[in-house]
This record gives sequence, C-alpha cells and structure tokens, in this order.
Amino acid sequence: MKTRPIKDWLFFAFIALGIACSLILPLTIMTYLDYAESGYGLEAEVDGYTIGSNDNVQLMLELTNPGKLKIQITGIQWNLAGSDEWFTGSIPGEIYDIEGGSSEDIIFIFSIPNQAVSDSLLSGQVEYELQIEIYIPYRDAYTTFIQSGSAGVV
Amino acid sequence: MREQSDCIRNFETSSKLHMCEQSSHIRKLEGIERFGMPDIQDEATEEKLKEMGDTWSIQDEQIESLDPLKYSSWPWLILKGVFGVIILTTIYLIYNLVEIPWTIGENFYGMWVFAGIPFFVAFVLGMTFESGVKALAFALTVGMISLVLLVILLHLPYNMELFDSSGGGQSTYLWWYILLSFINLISLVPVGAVLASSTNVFE
Repeated sequence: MKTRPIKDWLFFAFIALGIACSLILPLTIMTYLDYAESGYGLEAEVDGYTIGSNDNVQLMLELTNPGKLKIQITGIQWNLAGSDEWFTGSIPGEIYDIEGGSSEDIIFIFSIPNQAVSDSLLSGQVEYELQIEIYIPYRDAYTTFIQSGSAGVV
Repeated sequence: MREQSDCIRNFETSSKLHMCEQSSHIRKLEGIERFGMPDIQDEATEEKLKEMGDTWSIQDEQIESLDPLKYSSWPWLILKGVFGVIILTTIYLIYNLVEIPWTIGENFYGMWVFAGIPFFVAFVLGMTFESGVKALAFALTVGMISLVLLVILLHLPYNMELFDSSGGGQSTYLWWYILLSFINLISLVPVGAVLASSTNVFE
C-alpha cells in the first residue's frame, strides 16, 4: 500500500488546521479577557418597569447567561442618565444564581425617594445605566457588569 | 512428490537410497537450469549479483531521500513545531473556557474534538521521524509548551487584575480542567507520535 498520498493529505490537513487555529487563538484570548472584565458574557435587557406605591420601582430584567459557567448576582445598582444618584436594588434571596446557558426574567425592586426621578420615569422614555455585581464561583472571580440603555414605562 | 515419498518409504533399503540421492541431485541440477538459480562459481552470475547489489543500494538511497527531504528539513520541522503548539494550545484553551460561545468543553462533539485533534497533531509530528524516541521527545516537548502556555493564558485575567479574586487563581474548577488537559497530553500525544513513527513506511 502506498502511504505517501495519505501522509500528504494528513500533512496538508495539519497545516490548514494550524492556520485556522492561529486565527481562533487570538480571537479566543481577546473574547475571554473581555468576558473576564465585563461579566462572563452576561446579557441584561430591561423588559420594563412599573412604579408602585411608596416610590418603589420594580424593574423587570431578562438576564441571559450564554456560557456554561454559573453566575451569581450579588448586587445591583441602577441610575438614570442625567442624575448621579445610584439606586441599590434588592435581590430576591440576596444571591441569585443564573445557571449556564439559561435565560431568566427577574424582578428587582428599587426604592426611589427622589420625586424628580420618579417624575422623569413617569414622563416616558428614559436613559438608564445598570451595574450588576456578579460572582463566578468556578473562576473565583468578582466582577461588575455594566450596561446602559433606554426604556419606557410599562 | 511421489518420488520423494517413495524415497522416504524405502529409506532403509540401501540400494534404493543411493538411487534416491542420485535422482534428487539430478532434480537440483534441472531446477538450476530451469529457473536460472545462481551458481556462485559462475563469473556471469557474479556480475549479475553485483548489478543487483548496485540496484538495491541506489534504491536505498532513493528511499532515504524521499521522506526527509520534504518533512524532516529544519524549516518544516520548525513550522510543524509552531503549528503544533498553536493547535494544542487552542484546543486545550477552548476546552477549558466553557463560557465562550465556541467552547468544546462539556459538549458531546467537543469531547471528540478534544480527544481527536491532539492525537492527530501528534501523529503528524511523529511522521517527521523514523525513530520513535525522537518522535516522542518532539511531540511531548510541543505538548508541554502548549500546557505551560495554557496555564499562563488561563491565569492572565488574575495577573492582569481584570477582576477581584479571593483565591488568586487557585480555583479547583479551573485546575480540574487543566488536569484534564494534562491527562489528554500524556495519554494521546505520545500514542499518536509513536504510532506514526513506528508505521512510518516509505511509499
């Protein structure tokens, strides 16, 4: 049996794989470092908010964890653009787990004593900024996820 | 065949034994004439043998020049080593990083990529050498460099202080995956390299 053609094909496959991996490796490192800095691929989307009694704002967040690592939410803060005031939200059960590859709707409750902020919320579309403090048990990492966007009153 | 069996049957009969010996000698001579079996004392045959020897030595030279010319020269060897390190590091890294979208960790098909690619890489690296020992040394060196690179890359976020960490990169989960990569390295890479070098038949 002639092994030369087989060896040639294996060799070219190796070279092709090497070129492909030279592209994948830097991309992987960049993505990984970016994830490590900004919350392991966590995605947050404001589904809506309602203003209840006693100036309580209920913020409905859809949190998506695309990776396979479990993410724990240890704290959440919210502010409206134009004001430097940060409102700390209460987390159901103090620590909230988001399992790997899952997408969940969670309601966080913020109490906003400032009347001006409540008025601007009621007036319609507002710009906001979210800071979610997360802990990754498997990587032993504490990091903060920051997202800004805009939402209207539901 | 029949004569031979007759000879054996009449082995103890001295006169017939003599006849048998004679006939076998004749048969031998006939065989030489019929099939051209070499007679060492013949000058023509000696020349023929010398020619055959020359042909074989030329063929040996050709065989030796075939493989190393293409695969064992220094530029190819360096390229193979560099690509080997890159491929192994990439495979181990995307197996370890289960948070990225193209991860192969905790994944059925990824498991086969994780097992197959290092074996394949070691197989191609092993084809470079005729000696199994050299192939093993080269493939394992490439693998160990990849593993060191893997550990450095996985601890980069800790060293760059991209996040706060209480343990400082001592996460058991992280090291468990590094251990899996190490087990992969010491089991599949030597097998691939030695298998390739031991079955390295030219043409």
